[in-house]
Formats: sequence, C-alpha cells, structure tokens
Amino acid sequence: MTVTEHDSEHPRSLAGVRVLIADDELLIALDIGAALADCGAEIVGPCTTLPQALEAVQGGSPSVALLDIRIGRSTTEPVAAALAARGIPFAFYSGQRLPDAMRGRWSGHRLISKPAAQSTLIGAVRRLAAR
Amino acid sequence: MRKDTTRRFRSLKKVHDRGIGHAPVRRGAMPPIVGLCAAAGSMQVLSRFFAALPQSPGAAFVVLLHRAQAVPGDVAAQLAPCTSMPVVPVEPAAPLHHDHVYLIAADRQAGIADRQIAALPPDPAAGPHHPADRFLHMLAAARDDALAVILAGAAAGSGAGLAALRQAGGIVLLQHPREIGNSLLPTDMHATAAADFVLPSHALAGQVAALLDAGTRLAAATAGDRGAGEVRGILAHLGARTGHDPAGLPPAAALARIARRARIHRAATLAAYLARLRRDAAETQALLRDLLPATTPEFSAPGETASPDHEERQSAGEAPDCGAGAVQSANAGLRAANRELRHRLDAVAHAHADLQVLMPAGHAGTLFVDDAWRITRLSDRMDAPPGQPRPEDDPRVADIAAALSTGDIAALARTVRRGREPVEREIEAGAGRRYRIRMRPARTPDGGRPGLIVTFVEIGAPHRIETALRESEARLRQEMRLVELSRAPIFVWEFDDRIIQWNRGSEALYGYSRAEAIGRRKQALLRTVVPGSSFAALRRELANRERWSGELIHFAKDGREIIVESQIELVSIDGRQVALESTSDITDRRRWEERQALLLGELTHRIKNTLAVVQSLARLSLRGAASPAAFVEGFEGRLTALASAHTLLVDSRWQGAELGALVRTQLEAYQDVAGRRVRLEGAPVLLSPELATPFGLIIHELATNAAKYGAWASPHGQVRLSWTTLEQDGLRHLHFVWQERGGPAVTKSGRLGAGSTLITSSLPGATIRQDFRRDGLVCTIDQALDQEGHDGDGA
Repeated sequence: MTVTEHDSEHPRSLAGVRVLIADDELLIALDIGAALADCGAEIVGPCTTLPQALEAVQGGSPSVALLDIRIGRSTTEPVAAALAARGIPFAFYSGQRLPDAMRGRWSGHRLISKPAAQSTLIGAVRRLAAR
Repeated sequence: MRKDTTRRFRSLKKVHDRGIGHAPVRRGAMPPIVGLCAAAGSMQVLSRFFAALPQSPGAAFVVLLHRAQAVPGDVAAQLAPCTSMPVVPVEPAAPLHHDHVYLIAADRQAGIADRQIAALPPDPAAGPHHPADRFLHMLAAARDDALAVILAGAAAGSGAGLAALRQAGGIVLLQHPREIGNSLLPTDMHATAAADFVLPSHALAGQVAALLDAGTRLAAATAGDRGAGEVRGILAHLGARTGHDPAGLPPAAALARIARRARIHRAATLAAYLARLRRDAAETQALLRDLLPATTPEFSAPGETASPDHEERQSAGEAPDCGAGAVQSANAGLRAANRELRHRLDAVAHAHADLQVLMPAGHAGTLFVDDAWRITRLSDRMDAPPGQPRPEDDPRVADIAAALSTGDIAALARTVRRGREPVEREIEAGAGRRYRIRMRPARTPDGGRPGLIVTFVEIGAPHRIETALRESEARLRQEMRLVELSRAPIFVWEFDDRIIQWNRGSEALYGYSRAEAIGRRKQALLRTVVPGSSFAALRRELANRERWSGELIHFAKDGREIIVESQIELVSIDGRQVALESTSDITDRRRWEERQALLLGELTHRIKNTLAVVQSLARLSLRGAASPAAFVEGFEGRLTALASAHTLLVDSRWQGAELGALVRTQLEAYQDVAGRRVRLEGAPVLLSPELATPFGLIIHELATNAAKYGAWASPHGQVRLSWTTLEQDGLRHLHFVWQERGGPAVTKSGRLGAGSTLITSSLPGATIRQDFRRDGLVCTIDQALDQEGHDGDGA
C-alpha cells in the first residue's frame, strides 16, 4: 500500500536534501524518516540521544533538520546552536512549547506541533531546504 | 485699741527714721515686688492677707488703694497690727526694701526705679486712665517677675495692664469674684481670663508666699547666663511639639515668660520645668500661648509698644536708671496707645475669657446668641484632639439651640437678654441628656448689640464618659489580647518607620520573636517583594487608598521565602500613620498550584507525544501491510505491545521494567500458539523506561514473526530467550539472545518489511544481529544498560 496519495504526487521533490531527524521517540523518527525518504530525501540519523544528534550535525553534513525540543533529559538547544552556527535551517517538531529558557533565542524558528500530518512535515522540510 | 495706736505709731516712726530720700541707699538687689490692687470694702481681705503671710516673705508689697480708701495713713494704721512688716504710705517717695508694705493712694501714679518707689500726681495729658491699669503697667515695667494680686472688683478696666504684666513675666492672682457676690460679671471676665490663679481670699497669701519662694529658687538657678541652655532646650521642645518657633522674641523676654510658667508650677530649675513640658502637653500649649503674642503683632496688647525697649535694657545687663520722670514718659507713651484697638482687644479678651473659664472640660460649652436669635459663635476647645467632632456637629449644641427656641427657656432667654442678671436652670433635652445652662446678657465682640451668652454643662456627663471610657478600654484590652494570641500573623508598623506590634502568629510564621521584631524596620526585617510591582508602589497605593491587599513574598528569619496573602490597612493613631498588616501563608498552596500546572503541562506534552507515536505506528504498519486486514492486525498488535510495556512502566512508577516480566508480558498474546514451546533463562535485569518500550516492541515483532513464519509456525519448534549482563569499561551491558529451533526452513524474504525495520532500528544504541540459520532464526541484541542520555525519564 502507498503511504499517502499526497506524497505519491511529489515522488522526488526532496531529492538531494539531507534531513537530520532528532527525536528520542524512535517510532516517530523512523516514521518521519520513511516519509521523507519516500520523497527522495536522505536521512541523517535518526538520532535519539543528544550526543548522537550533535555528532550527526558535525559528521552527517545535513542540509536541514527537524528537532524535538526535549531529548532524553535535556533539550536540543545545543543541537540548535550547532546548526545555527553552520547556517543550517531547522524546525522544531514537538508536543510542547518552547521552554522559557529557549524562547528568547529560538522563537524565530518554526515549531510544528505533534502530532502533525505527514504532508505538513514534508512541506516544512521542503521550505527549509529552499532557503 | 491702745495697742493698735502704739503699733501704728511704731510703723510710722520706722518709716520716718529711715529718712525718705535722705538715708544712704543700701546698694543690693532690688526686692521682688508684689503689687496688690485693693477694692472698695476690701480692707478686711487685705488685713487677712498680710496676717497670713510668713514672717519674712522676701518681697516689697505695694498696695494700690481704692478710691474709697482715701487716706493711706489710715489704712497703714489698720494694716500695721496684722503684719510684722513695716507699712509705709508713699508720699511722695520711699526707698524700696524687702519685707516692707507700701501704700499708694488711688489718685496717685506709682513709679518704681532705682530701688525707689514714688507716688506722683498722674499726667493729666494722658487722659482718663484706670488706676489699676496704670499700676499694672508700672509693675510690668519695674520687674520681670512681679506678682499682682487683684482683689475682687478691682480689675475693672485693667485688661491691657494685666496682659502687659503677664507678658513682662509677671504672675496674676485674682480673688474669686464670687466672694463679693458677683458671679462672673463681664468686667471681671477678662481679668479671670488673664489671671494665672483665681483663688478665694484665704488662699491668696499662701499662694503668694509659695510663688515668691519658687521665684527665689529659680532666680538663683538662672542667675547670670545659667539657664540659657535650658531656654534653648525649651524653645526646641516647643518647636518640635507645636511647630511654632518663637525665634523673633528677644532672649530676655523669652526667659522671663518661661520663668513665669516655671514659677507658676513651682519648678526650682528650668530643667525641671522642661521635664514637666515633656510630659504635659497642656502646659506646652499654655507656654506657647504665653510666648506667641509677642511674635504675632495683630494680637499684641498696647503695653507691648513699650516692651522691646524695656527688654533691651534688661538684656544689656544695665541697672534700670529711670526715675519717676522716665516712668511718666513711658506712661505717656502708653496713653498714646490706640484706644480703638484696645477696645477691640478687650472684647476679644472678654470672649476668650468665657471659653477659658467656662470650658474647662469637654462636656461644657458656650454659645453666643445675637439679637436675631442666631447662634453666631461656638466655643471651640483649644486642646480638642483631632478627629473629635467639631462644635457645629456636636449634638449637645443642637440640644441647647432647641431648648432656646421653645417653651419656658425661650421666654426666660428673652427676659435675660433685656435684663442684666444671669440666670441658671437645669434642662432636659433629647436622648435623656441633662444640662445646667446659664444665660446672661452680653455684647457681641464686634458691635455691642445686645445678645445672650449661654454656657452649658452636661450633668452626669463625667460619669457617663468615664463609664464609656472604662468599657472601651476593657474592650480594647480584650481585642489586643485576642490579636496577641492569634495564630494568624498580625503585625503593626509605622508607615514611615518601625514595627510596633508583633503577635504570636507572626513569631510562628517568620521565626522572629516579639523582642527581635519590634523596633526593626519592616522592610529590613521581612524584605518584602511585591510580585510584578515594588514596595514603593505598594506604599503609594496604601497612602492613597488606605488599604492594600494582595500577594507578597516575605523572608523568614532562616532565609526561607514565604508567599503570603497580605491585607494592609493604614490608620491614623495620635497623628501617626500606622499600618495594620495581617498575612496568611499560602506558600504550600502556591507550590502545589505550580506543581499542578507543571504536571498538567507535562501530561499534555505526553499525550501529544503518545498520539504522535500512535500516528507513526499506524503509518509504519501501513507501509508493510499487504491488505487492510493485515494493516489492522499489525497495527493492533503493536499498539497492544506498546500499551503493555507502558503498563509495566506505570506499575513501577516509571522507574523501569524488569526484562523477564517484559518478555512474559509480550509473549502472553502468543500463549495459545507457543504453549510450552518457550524457555526463558536469565537473571532479573532492570531496563530503563527508554529501553523498555522499544525492547517490548522488538520482542513483539520477533514473536509475531515466529508465529507466522518461524518456530511456532511448526508443531515442534522451540524458542529460547536467554540473557546475561556483563561489565565492560565500567558500563553494564546486556547480551540478549532470541533463538528459534525446529521450525520450518528459514526464508529471509517473508520477514522483511515494517517488522524487520522495527527489530533492527528500534534500539539505535544497540548492536542487533539476525542470523537466519537452517534450523531457525537467532537474533542477538547487545545493549549498553547505562547509556548516556537514557538514564532519565525521557519524554
């Protein structure tokens, strides 16, 4: 069975885009990864821990990223900082709002609320990649 | 009779022997002077006065005789038997000595200078001038500590003289007018107001002796420059208490007027008088009244025009050197005083006298009723504390006004106004109040139109007031005790300053004892933080609205932060702004509310996350499903696997799940197919929540595949699950093996898809190997148990 009809209309729209996915909920990470891969994207990760994510920013040469806000016990703020330092665009995908400590610096980045339709995520990644 | 004659002769001889104006004048201190104004028919009073004086009173007594007592020699003869002091009729002059009595004829102008006393014809150019008034002005000019004794009926026309004497530092004693049957005639009224003592005749001598004694002691204590410091102290006290600064007054005049009050209270030193001022607010006011007229020109008496000259001379320390001529010229100046002004001042003094005499207490009052029956003025109590009702609002005034306009009392009032005699009655008015009222005809101060002065005293008021006071005091004590005992923290602080009350509840909440808190600045002690605002803003609002309530943060003695709900009220007590604050500790409630909010936020987050997981699970299941029925079967199985792993975690309060229990839970669904064909081997191992869920899901996938294509798909296939833990580089590792045997020939192809993805990817930190052997699948999982990032309660 095809996953969604929507995706099948744009089969290779994300070709050449390397997407870093950081989410400690592996099922979610796998699902997003599979959906983006269907659109031709290459997946960096999925990363379910902070060290993995930081390593992937350095070694995985991602072009865009989707970050959960919380990963394990910490937040993905160090990952966001590393991405920002490299000029890599990213969006948050999370069930929570930005915590107060992160609001000042990161509120300019899009926050996609969990759960989101796959088309929303694919659209968001496409927009990030177009920058 | 014979004895009298002899004594009279001796007295006269004594005078003669000293030689008037010829004997060498003994240089020394001028004696203190006691002036007496005699009245018609006062011979007996005078005799008794001198008889009652002590042996050597230490003053020169100068008696101004009444017109009726035409011949001083006769009077001297009558007085001589009553006193051991020589009695000297002054004609025309005599040296002034201690313990002598000098008589001045009514038609003479007395003068005192250079230790001489003279009796001269008055200056005709000065116009009519009352002898008593002249006499008092002379006393005022002669000494700054003269005593004047005014016998009943002798005060007429002497208002300015009395004022001048008092302002010079003299003390006025008045024989009680009632002794000669006049009950407070208007002529005596202002004298009564001006008098420092109003006494029955038998008490006059004793009071004079005591005042002379006090004067001697005070003079010794203030001789030279001594006392200057105390004067400054007294003026500073006055400034602090009343806000008035009598700085314009020459130092000598200030000292004389202060000494006057000190002598009245028989203070032996100015320091003693200052001590009295500090504890006696009424005396502070009295001193202020004594000091103020000189700094308020519109109220100064005519005599004041001569005063500065006099004071300068005294302060320069020069001996007065004016003779009788100088006295006369000074008197000429007095005579030139504005008569119109004096008339008005007399009227004011008159009205003022009513207040002072008739309103000694709060339950008495005076009304002035004009010819049209309007109440034109109400007496006002000078010492009425702020906050008391004004006289206009006093229900007693309404009572009296009502009584005056109706019935017997109205008729009586009309009679009194036409006549001359005062009338006293008792009346009953509204609310059961009873009054003694006295009505007498009077001029109004401004024009002399006929009117009525009504004074009233509420009968039984003192008792009622006392009872009410006692009751309210008892209530207050009771309430104070309740506050003290209250478990609720209540404390009182001065708006600009310090904590003045601190109850038991405050001790318990803040940890500061009563002794530690009282006297400390409230802000320094509790370090109030006003969330979203400032203490300064709170104070401003309190000042504007007199109350404030809201949430505050205080700090206890041990540094603990306490969130309180605070109610503050600002009240004025004795002119001080005092804040009453009660607080209740809502720290626990706030913390609980914060925790609730946090938990709710966390719950929302977890629900959203779980929904996202379910969503992903659905799509992953859809990805490998051959048909809708297969999708539903796969999706449901995985959802159940997640849910049962979740249940284990909830049971452990999210501490983790034991691997054996996790495996058994996941295999329950395959009980029917697996039966006894499963073996578990391994010691208990606790998996963290982060590992438990994916591990549960992997076992679910392995079991599903075993049932569909593996060991459990054939009748004799077996599955063995075994695990061990080992230490490596200080970290614990789990080595887990899923081993199938005796199943159908293994084919890899059927096992690829969603399930395979889940098995290989669910544990990203683990090494997972699937070995498809001929007799069955062997899956090994090597997982670090203490992996960084997986040791907490991740979302």
